[in-house]
Amino acid sequence: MSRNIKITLVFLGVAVVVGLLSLRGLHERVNRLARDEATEEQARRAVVSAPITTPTDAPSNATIYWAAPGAPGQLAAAQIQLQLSSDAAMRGKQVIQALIQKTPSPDQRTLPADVQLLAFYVLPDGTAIADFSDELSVETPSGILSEQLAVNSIERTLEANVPSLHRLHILIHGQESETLAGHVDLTGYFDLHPATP
Amino acid sequence: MLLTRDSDDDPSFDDRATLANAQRSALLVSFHVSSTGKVGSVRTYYYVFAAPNASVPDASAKTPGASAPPPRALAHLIPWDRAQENFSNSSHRLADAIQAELVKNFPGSPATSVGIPLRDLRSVAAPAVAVELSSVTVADRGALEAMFTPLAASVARGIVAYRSTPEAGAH
Repeated sequence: MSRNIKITLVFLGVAVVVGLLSLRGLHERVNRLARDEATEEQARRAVVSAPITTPTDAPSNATIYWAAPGAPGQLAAAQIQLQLSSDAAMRGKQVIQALIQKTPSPDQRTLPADVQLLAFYVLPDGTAIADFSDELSVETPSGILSEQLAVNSIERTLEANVPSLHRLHILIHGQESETLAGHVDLTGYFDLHPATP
Repeated sequence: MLLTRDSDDDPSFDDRATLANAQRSALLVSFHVSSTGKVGSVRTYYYVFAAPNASVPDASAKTPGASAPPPRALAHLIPWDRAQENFSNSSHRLADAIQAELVKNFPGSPATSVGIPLRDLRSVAAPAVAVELSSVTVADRGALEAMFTPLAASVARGIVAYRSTPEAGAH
């Protein structure tokens, strides 16, 4: 074996040893980053899903529309006690948060358990803008019916508890989305309190 | 009869609408299978546009469900995103006619059709409906496939019933 080949083999051996040593460190760093991200995500969720309280909160009977038990594809109203604000935007946020978090049973869920209401505000013309996290589109079961129930439960819950709202626009992660999960058109508005034809 | 897809491809909503809009006197029926709902039930949907918001002075929003001027006459150019608007009434009648037939073969289905903005109907300049069968959760795939023939027959009878009404040509 020539001297050059021996030197090359020694270099390669050293490189392999160094690579193996640094690989372990790299692996630990990747794990640490993943842990940090998860912690940040948990902290963000804790902030976003924290109970919404305002100075004008008062105990109220809220009407929330969940899926009707034993009647697939239908909604049913349920009365629950909530602390509700007199401010329309805060009140809307409170009832949608209840719609997501206080579902009586998994079968009655209309919105994914992991979805977050990132923002809810009301324009001067009575248009409500509800901004949901990506889970709304990613975790809603596939199909028109499940998307219809998701939208209808939001609409009817807002109609029942925030009468000053006229229409609703749904955003996903701050962006206008073409559809909720492939079917229901989210580029427009949904009438609240629609006139009976 | 034309299919908007004949293989496992995925044409865009606009591709499908383009194909439908190129036909004369066409109807569009969009078929879906749900992952929820009572197994063996079927629902027919038609597109609903939001009513104009009286408190919004500028009602010329570009979006489909948004406040908007009244539907334009057919002789005028129609915005692509609102093509279905001129056919709202006929789509509703077609959906009701199909649902009336479906409920005979699929007990547990709702008696009437449902209005909801569905993206794949929005740009179709013809009577257009979506029919969704529940559901893919059946344990036996054969049970789902057994529904196809009565489903097709019900839809066909619904279309015939719709075509036989004097209003079929009206929008």
